[in-house]
Amino acid sequence: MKSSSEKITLKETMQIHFRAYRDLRPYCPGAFASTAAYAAVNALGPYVTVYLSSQLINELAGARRPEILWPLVGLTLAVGAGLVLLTGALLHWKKAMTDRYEQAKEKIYTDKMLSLDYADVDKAETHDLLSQIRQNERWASWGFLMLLDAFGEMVGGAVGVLGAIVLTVSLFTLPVPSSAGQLTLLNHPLFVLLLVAALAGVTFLSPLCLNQGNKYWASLSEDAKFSNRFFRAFGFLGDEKETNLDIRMYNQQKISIPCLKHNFLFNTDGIVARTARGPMGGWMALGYSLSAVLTGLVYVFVCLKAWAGAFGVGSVTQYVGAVTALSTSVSTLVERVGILKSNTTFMRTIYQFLDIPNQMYQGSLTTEKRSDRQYEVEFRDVSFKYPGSSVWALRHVNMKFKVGERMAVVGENGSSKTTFIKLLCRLYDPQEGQILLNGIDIRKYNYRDYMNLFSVVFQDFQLLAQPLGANVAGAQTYDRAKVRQALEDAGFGDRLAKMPQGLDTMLYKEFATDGVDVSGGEAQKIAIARTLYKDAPFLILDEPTAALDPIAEAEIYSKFNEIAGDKTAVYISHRLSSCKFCDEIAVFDHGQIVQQGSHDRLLADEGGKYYALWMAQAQYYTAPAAQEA
Amino acid sequence: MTQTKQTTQKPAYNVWQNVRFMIGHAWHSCKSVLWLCLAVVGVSLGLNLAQLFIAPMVLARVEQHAPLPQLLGTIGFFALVLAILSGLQGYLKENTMYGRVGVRLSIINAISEKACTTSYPNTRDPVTLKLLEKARYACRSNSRPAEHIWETLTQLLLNLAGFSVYLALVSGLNFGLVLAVAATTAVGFFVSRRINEWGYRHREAEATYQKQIQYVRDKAESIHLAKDIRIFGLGSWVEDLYNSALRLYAAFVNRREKIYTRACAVDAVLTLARNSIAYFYLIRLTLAEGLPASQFLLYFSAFSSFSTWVTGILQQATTLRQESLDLSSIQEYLHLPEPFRFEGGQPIPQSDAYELRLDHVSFRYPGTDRLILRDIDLIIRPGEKIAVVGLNGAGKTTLVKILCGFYDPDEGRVLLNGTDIREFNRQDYYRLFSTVFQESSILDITVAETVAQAVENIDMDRVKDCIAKAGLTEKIESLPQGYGAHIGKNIYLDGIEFSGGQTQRLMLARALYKNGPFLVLDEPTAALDPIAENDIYQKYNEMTTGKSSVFISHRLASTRFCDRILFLKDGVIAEEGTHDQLLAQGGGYAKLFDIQARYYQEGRDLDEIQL
Repeated sequence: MKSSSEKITLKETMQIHFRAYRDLRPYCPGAFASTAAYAAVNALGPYVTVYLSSQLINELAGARRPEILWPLVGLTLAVGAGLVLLTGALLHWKKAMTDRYEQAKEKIYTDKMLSLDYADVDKAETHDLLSQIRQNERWASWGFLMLLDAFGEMVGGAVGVLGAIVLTVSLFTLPVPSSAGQLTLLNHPLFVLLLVAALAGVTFLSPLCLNQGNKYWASLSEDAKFSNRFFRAFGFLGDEKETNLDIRMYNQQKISIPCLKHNFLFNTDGIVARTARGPMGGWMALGYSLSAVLTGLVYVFVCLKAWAGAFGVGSVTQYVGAVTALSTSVSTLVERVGILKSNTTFMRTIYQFLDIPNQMYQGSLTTEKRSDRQYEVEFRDVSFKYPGSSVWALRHVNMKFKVGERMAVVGENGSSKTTFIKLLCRLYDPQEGQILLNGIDIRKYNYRDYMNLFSVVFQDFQLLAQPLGANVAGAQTYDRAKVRQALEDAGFGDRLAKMPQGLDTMLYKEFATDGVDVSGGEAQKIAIARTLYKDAPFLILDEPTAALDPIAEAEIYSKFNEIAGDKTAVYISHRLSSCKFCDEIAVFDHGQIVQQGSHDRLLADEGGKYYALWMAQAQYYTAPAAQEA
Repeated sequence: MTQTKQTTQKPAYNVWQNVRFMIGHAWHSCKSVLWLCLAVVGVSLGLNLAQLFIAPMVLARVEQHAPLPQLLGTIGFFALVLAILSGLQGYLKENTMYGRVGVRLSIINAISEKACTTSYPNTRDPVTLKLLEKARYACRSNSRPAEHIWETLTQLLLNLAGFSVYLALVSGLNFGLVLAVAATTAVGFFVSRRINEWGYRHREAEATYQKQIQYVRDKAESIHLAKDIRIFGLGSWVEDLYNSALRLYAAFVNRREKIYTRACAVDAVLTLARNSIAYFYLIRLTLAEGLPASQFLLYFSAFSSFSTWVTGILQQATTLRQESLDLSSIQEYLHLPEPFRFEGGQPIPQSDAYELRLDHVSFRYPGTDRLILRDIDLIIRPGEKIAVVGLNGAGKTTLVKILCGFYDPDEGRVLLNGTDIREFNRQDYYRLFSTVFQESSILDITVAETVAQAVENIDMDRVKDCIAKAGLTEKIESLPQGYGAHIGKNIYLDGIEFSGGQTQRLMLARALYKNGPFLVLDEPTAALDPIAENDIYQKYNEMTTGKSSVFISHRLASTRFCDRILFLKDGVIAEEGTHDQLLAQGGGYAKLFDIQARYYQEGRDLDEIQL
C-alpha cells in the first residue's frame, strides 16, 4: 500500500481513477454517461452562438443585406432556443444521476464492511479509515465525488478544445492582404508559433498557479482532519437526549465550547486562513490575472490582423471568443489533472480501505447437520490477543462441552468472557492452540456452515426498523408459522397479539410513522425469538440482564432455560444467580479458566474465585449475613 | 402530511430580522465578513463592466480604423483592468470563507450553549427538539444558510448594483424594450420557480428517503450489528433493504428532474421571445440610424446581461427568503422561553446542613396523562442515606429528577432548607449535587479533566484520591499516559475506551470530585461484576461521609448501607423503613428481596419462583 507521503505520479493518478471509474460504474450506471453528455453539449453551445453572432456582426459591419441578415437572425434565435432546451434536459438528466450517484457510491463502502473479516470490522482503525474517507468528502468533495466532477469537467474541456480549434483555424489561415504594408509580417509562420507559445505558456501557467495554491490544502489535510474531529466531538453537545442530565450537573458546555474554539483551524486567525491571506491567496490571484493577460495578447493579435484587413470585425469576436475559450478549456484540463493528482492522496485512503484483505482461512468441510445434534466443542490450549494489542486476552484455555449442556461463563469485568464467545463463534481466530468441533479444527469447516451452528443474543444485539417478522427471520420473506412459534416460545406471544399488523408491524419509526416502539425487555424477547427461529444447536446469551429489574431478570432466565430444550446453552453473566441451574460453570479470571465444574462443587472450594464471586452477592441474601449487616 | 402545514406556517422572524441577526452576529464576532462581501460586490461589478465594454470598444477602434497606438492603448487598458480585477477576485475568493466559517461556528456554539443550559424539560419536548434539529441543520455545512447567507447577500447586492448600472445604460435607448426584457425574464422566472418548487414541496419526502438510506447504511456498517450479521447471516437482508431504499430514492429523483425539465421548455420559449424582440428592435435601429456594428454589439450584450441581472435579483431574493426560514429557527431556538429561573433569584443559603423536602409532590411528564408520582411527601435530613427501590417504571428515576431540579412538580413543592427551589438560580442549585446517572455524557478529554470536569486549575491530588475511592487507580496508572490519557477515540486515535464497569467507576470518581452536599447515584453498579460491586458498597460509607445521599438500585443487597429505604410502587412511597423493618413488614419489598435471595440460598430452585 502506498503511504500518503509517497510522490504521486501522473500514471498512478490515471490508474487509480480509472480503477475507481470501473468499480463505481456498476453502482450507478448512467452517472458517467449523463455527465459526459451534458458536459459536451454545454461546451459546444457557446461556440455555436459565438459563430452565429460573429456572422451577424460581420454582415452588419459590411454590406448589411437584409436578405442575409434576417434569415441569419432567425437561425440564431432558433438555435439559441434549441440549445436552452437541450442543455436543460441534459442538465436535469445529469442532476438526477449525480444525486443518485452520491448515495449509491456509498454502498461500495458498506459492501466492503459487510464482507470484511469481523476482526477488521472490530478494529478502530477500520472505522477511522472510513470516517476519514467521508470527512474528506464532506470537507471538499475529495474522493469519489471529485472523480465524477473532474470527469465531467474534463470531457467538457476536451470538447471545448476541439470546438475552439475548429473556430480558430481560419484565424491563422486567412492572410493579411499585401496592401497592409508592414503588418503582412503577421502572416509569417514564426509569428503564429510565437502566439501559440504565448498562449500555451499562459494557459499552462495559470492553472499551475491555481494548483500551487490548492496544494496548501492537501498539505493542511492532517491538521484539518484533527480540527474536524474536534468539531464533530464538541460542536453538537446537548443534541443527544441521554446526555442532558450530566451536561447540566457538570456544566459541560464550559469545557466543550472553549476547547472547540481553541482547536478549530478554519477561523480567520487559524493557520489555513493565514495561508490563504499569504501564499495561497497570492497564487490564486496570480492564476486569475494571468488569464486576463492572455485575453489582452489575443486581442492584440486578432485585432491587428483585422485592422490590417485579414477578416471582418465580426470575426474578431469569433476569434477572441474561441481563443479565450481554447485557453479556458486547456486550463480546465490542466487544472483537473492537477486536482485529480491531489485527489489521488484521498483515493489512496479509499483503496486502503477497499483493499483490506480477508485473512481468515475459509475451510470447505461441511458441518453435516446431524439429526442427532451430537456436537462436541473443545478448546485446546487456546491463546488469543486482539490485533494490535500486546496483552493476551485469553491464555492457555482448555475446555470441553457437549450439546445439551447448560454452561455458565462467569468472571469479573475484563476477564475476557465475551472474548471467549467471539472465539467460539469464530468471529476471531486464536493465535495459538485450536478450537475443535467433533475433533476437527473449526477453521477447516466452511465458515457459513460453522456459523449456522450458533445463535447468539449479544449484549448489544440489534433490531432493525423493519417488520417484526423480518427481524425474527433476518430476511424479507420467511416462514410465518415458524416465526410466530418462535415469538410465542420467547414469551412475546401476548405482545404479538397486540401488534396492530401482527408480524408485519414495523418496529420503530424510521421506516413507518406508525411503527411501534418496543421496550428493552421486549426487544430482548424478539432477539431471543430470532435465535429460536434459526434453530441452531448452540444458544448463547451474553449478559442479557444488566438493565432489567429482578422480576424481569428471573423471567428471562427461567424462560431461556426452558426454551433451550435439547440444545446447548451458554450464559455469560456476572450475576451468579444465573449459574445455579447450569451443569457446568467456567470461571474466568485474567484471560484464563481458573475453575470449572458444577455450582456445588465450585462453591465448596472456599479459596476459589467462584466462592469469592458468589459470596460477594450472596452474603446480602443469606440469613446470617443479613443480621450481620 | 406535515408538508402543507410547514409551508403555510408563518416564521417567527421575518427576512429583515434574520438578516439583521446575522449582520449583528458578524459585527460582533468577525467584522471582516461584512467588508469582504462589499469588496466582492465592487470587484465583481467592475469586472463585469470591463468585460462588457472591452469587445465593443476595441471593435470600434478596428471599425474606425483608428491609429494603431490608440487601438493597442485601448486593448492594453482593458487588459490591465481585467488582470487587476481578476487577480483581486481570485484573492477574495480564497479568503471569504474563513470569517464566514467563524461566524457559523459562533452561532453553532451559541446553539450548543443554549442546548446545554436550557430548562431540562425543553430537552425532552418534541417541538423544541424539532426546532433544535432545524437550527442545527441550518448550520450544518458551508452551503447551509448560517454560512451561505453571505453568498446570497453578496449576490443579491451585486445583482441590484448591476441592474441599476445597466438600467442607466440601456434605458436611454428605448424604455419599452427594457420593460419587455424585464417582463419576459420575470415571467420566465416565476413559471420556473413554480415548477421548481416541486422539490421544495417534497423536501420532506426526499429527506425521508435519504434518512432511510442513511439508516440502513449506518446499521450495516455498525460494529454492533456486525456480529449479528455474521452469526445470523443477515447480509443479504441488509443488502435487500439497502437496494430498495436506493431504488425508492432514485425513483423520486428521476421524477423530480423530469418535472424540472418542463421548466426548461418554458425557458426556451421565453428566451426565444425576448431575443426576438431585442434582435428585431436593435437591427432595425442599426439599419435605420446607421449605427456601427460595435454599437449593436454593446447594446445587445447589455440587453442580454440586463435580463441576467433581473433573473439574479429574483433568484437571490427567493433564496434569501428560503434561507430566512431556516435562520428563523435558529433565532427561535436561541430565544426559547425558559420555565426555570436562570437569572437573579435568591442566593443558595450557605450551610453545612442541607435539608431537602418534597412537599406533596405530584408529577406527570409533559404531554402525558399518566401520573408518575403522586403526592410524595419526603424529607431528606442532612447526612441521611436514602435508598430508592422498586420495579422498572415505579418512578424511581423520576423522583430523583425532581429532587435534582430537572423537572418542577405539577403539584407541591421541592424545598431546600424551607425555600422553594424555584426561587434559586437553577444552575446554582445544580452545584449542590454530585450525581451518577444511568446515562452519562463523557467528553473526549483526559482522565484527569473528566474527573475534575475542567481543563484548568485541576487539583491533581483530589483527582487521584477520587479515582482511588472509585477503585480505578490500578487501571489508570497502568495507562502509558496515566491521568493525561484521552478518553474515547473520536479525537485522539490513541484515546482509551473504557469498559462499561470502568466507565461507571470513572463517573463515580467524577461525582466525588465535585463534592456536592448531595450524592445521587442511579444504579451505579449495574455494569460491575459482583466483587467490584461489593467493593463499591463497602466504600459507600466513606464516600458519603458528611453528605446526604440518594441511591437507586435494583439490587436489594445494596440497600442495607442506607439509613432509610423507600420502596416505590406506582408512583407512591409504598413502604419506608430500614431493611429489617421492611422485611418484617412482609410487603412488596420483602417479596422482591425474596425473589433475588432464592438464587443464593441453598436448596431452593428456580422452579419455585412464581411470577
